Amino acid sequence: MMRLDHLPNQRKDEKIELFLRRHWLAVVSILIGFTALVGLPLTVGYLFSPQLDLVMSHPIFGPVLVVVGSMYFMAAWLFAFIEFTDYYLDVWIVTNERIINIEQEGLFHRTASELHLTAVQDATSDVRGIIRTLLDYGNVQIQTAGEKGRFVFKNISRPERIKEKILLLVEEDKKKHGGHAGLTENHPAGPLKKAKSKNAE
Amino acid sequence: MPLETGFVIPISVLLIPLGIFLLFYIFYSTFNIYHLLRFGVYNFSLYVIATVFALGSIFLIGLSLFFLLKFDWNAPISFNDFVGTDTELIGL
Repeated sequence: MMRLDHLPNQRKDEKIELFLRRHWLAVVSILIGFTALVGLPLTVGYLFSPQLDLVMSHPIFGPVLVVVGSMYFMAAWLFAFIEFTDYYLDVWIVTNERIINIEQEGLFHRTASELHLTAVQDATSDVRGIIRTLLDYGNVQIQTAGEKGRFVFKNISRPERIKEKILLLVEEDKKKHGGHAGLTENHPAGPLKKAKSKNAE
Repeated sequence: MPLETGFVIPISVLLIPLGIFLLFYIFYSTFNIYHLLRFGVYNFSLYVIATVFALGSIFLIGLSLFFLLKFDWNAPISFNDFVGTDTELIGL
C-alpha cells in the first residue's frame, strides 16, 4: 500500500504539491453503465412479471433462468468493480521534486514511472468538446527533455490550473538546482530516472 | 405415442457452469481487492471500497442461493420436457 507521507525514494525536503485522479465523470460513467446493465433486465422482468412467474414455476426453465440471472448480475457487479479499480489506481502525484505517474491498465498490467521536474521542458493543457469545457476537465501533457517525450495526465479536473502549477514548480525547481534542463549524475536529485514496471501478476 | 429419448440427466448439471463461474468470480474479486490494498493510496476510503464490494458480492451470492434452493435439483431433464405441454407454459 502506498502512503502519501512516505513516497518511494522520497527525499528529505520533498513534499506533495498535487495528487490527481481522473475527473469524477469517470465514476459517473461506470455508475451509469452498471445501472443500465442491472436496470434493463429488472425492468423487463417487472413489465412481464406474469410471464416471469410462469417461467420461474417451470421445473427446468426456472432453474435455467436463476442460474443465468445469477451469473449475469454477478458479472455486472464484478465488471463495475474492475472498472472502478482501474479508475482508483490511476494516480498522478506531483511533488516539489518530481512527477510520479501510476497507471493501471486492466487487471494484469500496471505501469509506474517518475520524472524529475528539471527534465520538464513544457506543459500543455488540452480541453476538447462541450462537456469537457463545461465541466472543466481535460488532459495535461508534460513535454520532457528525454527522447521518449511525454507524460499525459488524462481527463483531470482543471487542467489549465494544474498546468500553471506544474510550470511554477518546474521554475522553482530549476532555480533551486541551477537551471538545468535534464538531469546529470552531478544533480542533487540524481540522474533522470524513468522507471517502468509492468506488473503481470 | 410419447417420444422416448432414453437420455435423462438431472437438472443439477446446470450448477456446473455456475460453479465454474463462481470460481472465476472469486479469483477476479480476490485479485482486484489485492490490487486495491497492495497498490492503492493508503486511506480510509480504500477499506470502504473493498468492504462495499465484498458486501455486494455476499448479497448477490446469498440472493442466488435463496432462489436456487427453491428448486428440486434432482428433477430429470429429458427431451420430452422441451416439447408438448411445456410449450403451452411459455405461451407458444
